[in-house]
Amino acid sequence: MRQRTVIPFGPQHPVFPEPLQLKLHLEEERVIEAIPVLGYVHRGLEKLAEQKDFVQNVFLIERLCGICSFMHALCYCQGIESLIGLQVPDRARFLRTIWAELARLHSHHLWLGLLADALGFESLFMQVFRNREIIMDVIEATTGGRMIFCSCLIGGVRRDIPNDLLKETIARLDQAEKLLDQIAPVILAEYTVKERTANLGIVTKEQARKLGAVGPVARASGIAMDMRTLGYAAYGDLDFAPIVEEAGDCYARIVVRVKEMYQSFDLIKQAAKRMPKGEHALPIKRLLPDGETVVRVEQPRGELMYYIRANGSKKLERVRVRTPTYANIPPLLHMLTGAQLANVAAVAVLSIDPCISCVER
Amino acid sequence: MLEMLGNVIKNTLATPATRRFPAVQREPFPGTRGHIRMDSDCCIFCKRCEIHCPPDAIVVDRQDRTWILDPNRCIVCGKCVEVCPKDCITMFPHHRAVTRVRIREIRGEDDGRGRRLEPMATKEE
Amino acid sequence: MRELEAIEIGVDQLLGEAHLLAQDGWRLVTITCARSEDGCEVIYHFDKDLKLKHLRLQLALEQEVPSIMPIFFPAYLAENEAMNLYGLRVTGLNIDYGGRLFTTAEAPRHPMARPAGARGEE
Ligand code: SF4
Ligand code: SF4
Repeated sequence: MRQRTVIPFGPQHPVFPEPLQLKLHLEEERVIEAIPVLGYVHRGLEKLAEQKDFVQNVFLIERLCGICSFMHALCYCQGIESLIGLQVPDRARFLRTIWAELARLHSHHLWLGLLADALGFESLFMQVFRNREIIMDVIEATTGGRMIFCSCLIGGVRRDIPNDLLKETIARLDQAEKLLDQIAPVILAEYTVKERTANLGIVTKEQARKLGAVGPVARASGIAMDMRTLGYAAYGDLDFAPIVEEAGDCYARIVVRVKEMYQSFDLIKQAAKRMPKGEHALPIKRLLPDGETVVRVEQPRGELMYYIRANGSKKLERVRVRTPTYANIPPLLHMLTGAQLANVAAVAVLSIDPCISCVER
Repeated sequence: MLEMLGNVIKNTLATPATRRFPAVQREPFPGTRGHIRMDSDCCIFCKRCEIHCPPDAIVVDRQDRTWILDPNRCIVCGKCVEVCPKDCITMFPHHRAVTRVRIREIRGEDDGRGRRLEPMATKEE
Repeated sequence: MRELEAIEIGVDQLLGEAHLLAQDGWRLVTITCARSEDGCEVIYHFDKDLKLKHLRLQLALEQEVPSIMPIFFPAYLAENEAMNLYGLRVTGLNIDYGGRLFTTAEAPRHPMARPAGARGEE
């Protein structure tokens, strides 16, 4: 019998932006089994959310994750709005869509940069991050924060994007899209990238279903599952279709995400074109949430689910957050089994775009 | 080959895409949430900001007439700016350096007719 | 009061119901655990073609619940989490973190099992 070694992979590892430990059971260079060890960034935010009142919770929930902070606030606000029976103004719906897509863009840029870095493709990493900076600037100009938008509010959004700023935003995004046009062919057509990622970490459609994959991981395996088709915010009024790839390997996941970046640019432009006039927030004076609800939105990493239970007072009884990485951990373990050690970090783990602070809350 | 030459020339002549940071600093956008300041002149110590502040960064004492902000706790969400009935908290776009120092605003007694008997003070402790 | 349209089931029905859902092609979204007056409440959320279905389970204190991990593999994370945060007793788990998925040995054992404000428990 061949000897088995156990390598603790992480919690500190150059390719992980966040602490996740994987106990890799190896036979020579091949991974036989991977066991995740969680809890390095568990902060008990669900418990804290029971102690603050439901308006303060928006700010708390937004800080659950740095990259998709807006999506968390959006999901939570939609839940509370459905509980107090509030219909947000049209303009707020479109503004929310724009910010949600901006969040997706900067998240995917971050991921692409990290992937390039993990592949040892340093110049691409720099290019991607330069591009990301344009998007961050747009976010800062429109919301006032680079990572934490703080712009979603129960009943609407906190600040409006005036029309001239909107025009400027679109102009800057056009510039970013042009830069992406230069970068995307490099990552998609470069044979070193392809050699490194194709046929690696394959998750078939059947397996993806069984393992509960969500988001780009599921879409790269041929499952057309995109929560945006539920039509929340303004997505019901915009034209788009989920991006699906069939191969189910790491390369397919790259393709899905790169295509989604273009889709985001397109959705922002559509939303800006159809931006209705009117107010951007409604007052929620003396309205208290009551009952329970489940809300779902599509985060950059996949389906985000909130379960909210309120009892008619200011404090909520339970806020349960199921983040996409949480659902993507079983597929990740599946991808890792049988992978070469050298591919674990760079390719397999990054291809699900892990967000650990989301998982542990 | 010619394409490469073009790139080489472009890259030799181009300036770096990055800033020389400590010397050249980027100006924040006008609406950026950088830090908050309270103008103790108009505060009526109503405690609204203390109640609404999500991370409990503000402590207001009506008796002592003090308003204390812990910048280390403050997440610069801007809620206090919105709720203050006298609009005496203002958001500024520049970031404040990380500090453990708390900012205490004290407003002296006045005689009820707007004349101040004691001066107001901003203390950092 | 807006209630979730959840199907109330008993502990003994759980595995059977889960089996039927799995055969029908439903995907486990997650498992939510929450406090109730006497013990706790477990809600299983399932999804199929963007439609949701919920199974609700009322548990008395210390009552055991079988793991649905053999049917829905991804359940093990959520079950381990509920074991850690709520002290739920799940039997038949193949990957068992021993109620320590998130917290370390020094931390309070089941931090969410009691209402907010009850600090320093255990
Ligand atoms: S809300 Fe304004 S007036 Fe009231 S205590 Fe705070 S700073 Fe003073
Ligand atoms: S900005 Fe937000 S966190 Fe800071 S003191 Fe005001 S309410 Fe509190």
